[in-house]
Amino acid sequence: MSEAVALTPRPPRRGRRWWSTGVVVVVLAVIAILLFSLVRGASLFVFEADEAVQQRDELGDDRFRLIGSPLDGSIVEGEFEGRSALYFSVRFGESVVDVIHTGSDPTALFQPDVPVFLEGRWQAVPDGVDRFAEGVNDGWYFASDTLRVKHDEDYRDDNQDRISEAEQGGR
Amino acid sequence: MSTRPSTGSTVTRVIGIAALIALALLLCAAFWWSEPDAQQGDAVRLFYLHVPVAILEYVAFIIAGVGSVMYLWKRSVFGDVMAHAAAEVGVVFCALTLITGSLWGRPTWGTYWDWGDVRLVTTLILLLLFVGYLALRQVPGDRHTRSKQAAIVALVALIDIPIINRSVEWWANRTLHQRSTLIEGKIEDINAFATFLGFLACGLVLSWFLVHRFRVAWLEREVATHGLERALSERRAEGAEV
Amino acid sequence: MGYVVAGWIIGIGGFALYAGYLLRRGRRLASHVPADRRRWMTADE
Repeated sequence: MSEAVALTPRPPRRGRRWWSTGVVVVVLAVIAILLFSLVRGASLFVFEADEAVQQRDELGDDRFRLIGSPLDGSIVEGEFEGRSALYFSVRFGESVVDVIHTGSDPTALFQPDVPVFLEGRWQAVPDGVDRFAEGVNDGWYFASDTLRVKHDEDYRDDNQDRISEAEQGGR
Repeated sequence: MSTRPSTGSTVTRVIGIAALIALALLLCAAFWWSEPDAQQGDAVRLFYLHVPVAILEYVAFIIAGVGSVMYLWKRSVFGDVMAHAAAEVGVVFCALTLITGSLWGRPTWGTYWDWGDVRLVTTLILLLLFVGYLALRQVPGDRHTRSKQAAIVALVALIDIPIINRSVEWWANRTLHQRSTLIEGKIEDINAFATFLGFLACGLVLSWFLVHRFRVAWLEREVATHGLERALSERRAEGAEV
Repeated sequence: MGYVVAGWIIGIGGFALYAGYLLRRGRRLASHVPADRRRWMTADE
């Protein structure tokens, strides 16, 4: 004889409901934090070298992000206030900014004419700092503690570059 | 050969073998046949994996969007299952895009991550939106309501894709991420061939994943729909034997 | 080069892990569905 079978649908297991609802809530919260951080990150004002020079008075000692390409022959390793430092000058547009970078070492891509993103602030050049090689030497420098290298979207293989150099008479 | 039931078929076996061969060729092209980049050196060898995975992640999410439209418009079960499958595969590709991109960023930019970079953060948001989509699909309740909500979330999430893709052009000088090589830049010779192989291999992997994941989602639906019927009949049969 | 190799290992490894997960999940579910309802899935990979 067959027994009666309960056909009433069972309510969903509470554990599963809480787990999945929790994930949805956490995801929404993290997205909100990310959007906030993006707006905040973007609010760390970004200035190309020429804009940074034009707005030096308004910027005062505000922290900002500076964009420019190191000038050929300007990169010199040295010391600044007892720490190892890189002295160089970057150009964007018509303006040049002298830089002292005291943060962690840049990657191997750091070289003349490859754009860099620097974070820091304007400072007056203190006594004891020699002139910047190839720099503008206007009494101001950008005190950088973070250096990121931006590579471009073109890809050229190493050998091809060497062939081109050889065709142009070598360096 | 075993005949245990699975989601495999002749078509998936052909795609799978082609994907393995293409991946092997891609590895050779990336590490042996291609040259280091004049600027980036060996770091460029991640390009052949990272870029195809990133572009195909968009393809997976767009398929999820098409399936979502099919469900909202025609109540298409096929569309609903396809959207679910493509979203999960898209999440895998998106996570790998972020990981390979971070590992490429460290030796080139000098950092794994930049919170001020629009492309990076919006890609992470896209990943989280689709993780949320997958979590939403697990919330118990009425199947139609859940599928409808999920379809709307997928379509909202898709708005992020053009933002991610164009961000490097809109903020060209102010974003750390390079501009689009495939649209704006140049890549030539063997490196272009390696890129083509990357798209071929990752495209085959994506296809294999999509077919299998679609079948898994279909089976889940079958189990959910017919599981109760079968359980009842089995219980009745057990009762009749007593 | 270490970062590049790590990226490739994680990329290919991620593909392999997800493929294994899909196959296992497919086999488990397929065994619960009658053959006539999974006619496009015939045998093991």
